[in-house]
Amino acid sequence: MSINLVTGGVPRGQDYFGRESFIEQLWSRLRTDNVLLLAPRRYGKTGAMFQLLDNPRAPFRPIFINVEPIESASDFMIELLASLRQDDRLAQMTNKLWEGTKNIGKNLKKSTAQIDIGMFKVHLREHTDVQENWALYGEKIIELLEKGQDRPLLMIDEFPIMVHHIAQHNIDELRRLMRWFRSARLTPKAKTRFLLGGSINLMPTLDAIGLIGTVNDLAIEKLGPFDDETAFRFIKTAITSQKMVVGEGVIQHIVDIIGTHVPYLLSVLVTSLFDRQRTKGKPITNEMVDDVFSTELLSRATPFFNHYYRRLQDYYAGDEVRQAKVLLSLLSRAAGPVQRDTLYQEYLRVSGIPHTSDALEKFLWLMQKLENDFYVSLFENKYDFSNRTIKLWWQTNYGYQFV
Amino acid sequence: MIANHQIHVYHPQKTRPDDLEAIFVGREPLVNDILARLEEWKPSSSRQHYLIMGRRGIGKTCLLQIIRHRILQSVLSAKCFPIILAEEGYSLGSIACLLLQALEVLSTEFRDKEVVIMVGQLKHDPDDKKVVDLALDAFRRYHKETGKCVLLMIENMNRVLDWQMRHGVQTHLLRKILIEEDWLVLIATSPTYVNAITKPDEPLFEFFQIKTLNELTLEEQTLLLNKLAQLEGNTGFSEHVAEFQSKLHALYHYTGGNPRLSVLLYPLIAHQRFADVQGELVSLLDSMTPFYHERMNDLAPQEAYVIEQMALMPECCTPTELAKNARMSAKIVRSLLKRLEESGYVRREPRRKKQTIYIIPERFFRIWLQMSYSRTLRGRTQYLLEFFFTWYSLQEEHSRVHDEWAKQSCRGMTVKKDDFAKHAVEHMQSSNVVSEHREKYAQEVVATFAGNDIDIEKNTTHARSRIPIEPPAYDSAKILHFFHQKEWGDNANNRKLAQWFLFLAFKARKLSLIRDILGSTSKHTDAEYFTPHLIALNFLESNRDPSIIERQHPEVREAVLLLVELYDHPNDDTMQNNIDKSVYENDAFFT
Repeated sequence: MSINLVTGGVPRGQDYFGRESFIEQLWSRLRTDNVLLLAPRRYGKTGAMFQLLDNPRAPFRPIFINVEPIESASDFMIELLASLRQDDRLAQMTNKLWEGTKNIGKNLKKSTAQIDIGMFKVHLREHTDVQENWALYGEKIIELLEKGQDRPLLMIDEFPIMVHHIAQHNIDELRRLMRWFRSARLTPKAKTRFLLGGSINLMPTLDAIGLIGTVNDLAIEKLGPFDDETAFRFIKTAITSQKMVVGEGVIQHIVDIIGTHVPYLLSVLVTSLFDRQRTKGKPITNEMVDDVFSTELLSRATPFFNHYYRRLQDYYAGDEVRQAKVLLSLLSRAAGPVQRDTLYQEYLRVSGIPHTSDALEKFLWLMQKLENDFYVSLFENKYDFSNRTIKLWWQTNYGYQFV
Repeated sequence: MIANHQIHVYHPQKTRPDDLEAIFVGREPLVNDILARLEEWKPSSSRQHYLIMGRRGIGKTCLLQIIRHRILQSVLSAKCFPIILAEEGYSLGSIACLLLQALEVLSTEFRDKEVVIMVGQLKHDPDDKKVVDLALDAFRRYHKETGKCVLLMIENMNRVLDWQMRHGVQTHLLRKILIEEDWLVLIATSPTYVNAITKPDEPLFEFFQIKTLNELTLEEQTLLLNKLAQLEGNTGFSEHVAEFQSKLHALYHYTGGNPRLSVLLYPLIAHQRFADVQGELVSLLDSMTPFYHERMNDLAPQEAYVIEQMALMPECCTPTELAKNARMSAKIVRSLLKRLEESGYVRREPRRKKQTIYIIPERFFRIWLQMSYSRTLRGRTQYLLEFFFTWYSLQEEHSRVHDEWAKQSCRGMTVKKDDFAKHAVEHMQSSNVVSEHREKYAQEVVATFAGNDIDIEKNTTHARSRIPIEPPAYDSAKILHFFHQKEWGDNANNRKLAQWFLFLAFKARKLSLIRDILGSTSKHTDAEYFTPHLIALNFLESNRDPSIIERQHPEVREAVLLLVELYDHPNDDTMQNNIDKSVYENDAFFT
């Protein structure tokens, strides 16, 4: 097997490595639920969606839509309508929406669905009332799709960013959109399945504006880092693909030194090693790995981990920011996992409040958010950082700052 | 200009691709990597987008031109269509503008009727969403009809993303397009860090594979110089270099391995010249001004200030020393130095007595900073002293240069009356630097000013710092008269003289005279040297049409603005800092 390392972009085909069982799990979950796919940045969410797109399974007909630049509900609807038209079979259903409409009908006849996506969007904006009555069109399109034989799988990537954008422009519009979207998902005869992806914190954003209830029907699937064995296979395959020469024990050394097997970080390290070997003309040794790790990867990884720190500030509300920082600092200083009750005591102390059922509920909600956002994981009633490298990084930088 | 092969150092895209190939060194592995990935491209496959980082003059534009050339000359042309959006572009204020410009290039070369019509329609459409949607349709159609991918190469991505496309949604839109459109591969270049890519909260954070172009090694630079000599047909070059190996080291010391500087400084080493190296150096520094101005403009104000302060200090300095000099806190200076180090402006050296020290690795840049920013006499001459110490490292060279300068000084004293003392002093200072009889000449310098109101001391350095070296008053009428009598030929001195005449003409605010001078000089000397003057003239004659300046290369634009400033403020003395003083000290000029 041969793979190309893709740094930053979307790996497709066999370049999307080591996620076979997760893809199976995703297909399986989609048979019964609409799914919210969560993972930190660079873990491979978009790659997973493209795997579904490139290898569809009946009865699903996957459509991929990236919605990150969208700032209004009407633009979301236009994007949705244009995307559905790219699939021939789904287009047969959705084109009925325009039957009897002079302008659009003419446009549909003379344009090629897979190419003239833009022209279609322009027509929707200029010659229809989609912009004003987007919700009505949304209802109609879901109804039409119910009548077809196929099951559309709408994979909406970067959904939280769109939510964030719309919230900044028009909070009422966001409320209407989220309620429409929920009802569209929960229509009893609905055939359309939704897979929403995003790395920034959807839950805290919606919680802050009282809309958390509009996504509580979604089943959450989390994409974690590689385990040790997959990381080993990934590095070995990448090295073999590039016909690079490595010394004995080097692959295991890479696995050990990087600690957190985020595919992106592995790609950066291995690519840097390739570049270094080419310059030096010598086999990759453990010493070379150590040097590349400290000179190149750590400097790149610092902003990567910084993101964990800064997004607390950006997406957590009010007192939660300080509460979360203190709890994470405590966890970073602890040698092992910490009892939930211990963390709760710390939570009460930093909040300056006595124990009440309301306080406990808020604490549990905060911990759930931290877990969903990949800061911590819960095992046997104990919390710890979700991975060792972030724990060490947090301890070094902030471990003693928030007490 | 090298014989029939013109190497445009500021506009590599104007250089013949074969000539670029002939002098291409040190970047082969990167080009091969990128081309190999492109060969594997097919719809629905992984695509790798690149960000190529490196300081100005490191060879980013040249690299893109080579990639384009190699695609067009190989079987890859059946698979990939390369589009370069040139760094002159200042109009990439939105994704709509970017796609429209790319589409224009496609329409010019693809000549598809529908694409041409589409460009015509969209060019004046103010609706950005519409332009994006329809431009993408046109690209999709091209991809469908030809089966090719589009390799979009954008220069100065930092400017595009951090300055021009300030609206965050534009960056999100770019990311969407890069993810969704199968036919698109992007290679961006940037002289410095791109916030929109390196900040964790930005949509394009870590989206590109970042490749940093490093300075050439000494061996690579030597190879480059040999290739330049080969292109020039300079058969004696290798023999000459073998004789003075120290020159190669000195050149490397000054360029820090920067390819553009290497090409610019090639004449210093290509021919066996000694005594006129000072003139050549000052002329080069002068011609480098727009380039370095632009490099400074890439920096945030605090970073630029720190670099400026660093250049005026001894070559190696600690953050604490720098902080003291710059009157800033050490913490801020350290953080600025870290960023400057990441962008390649400064380099951390091995520790000195457990202290971290920093240098400006490209000494020529440091020299230019000293020349441009120093407000003290000592600073203004220090750069020459530093240069000569390194350039003439062998005693044999010192003596030879000294003899030639001594002769020139004597000739200058007999011919020139008015400014004889200042003239002599500069020559003596130079001689003093390289001579084994330093003390003797130091005394002569002191003696020259005996009787003046200078506090003479035997300490040479102190005496040097007290000697005024200011431009003499000029007689513009005499100079302009001289201009019309001058026999022109293409050499560095004539270029300097022509620049001096143009300087006067701008100061005199006489547009007809500027045109007259440019007409005469461009016939005989390398016209590229006078591009800024011509553009400044066109700008002034057009009643200041801003589009004339906006469409220019940033480095040219900087030079043009300086000239316009000179025209608008002829009595502003600070402008003289950018004028080569050695011109009016040329003996022949006053005969």
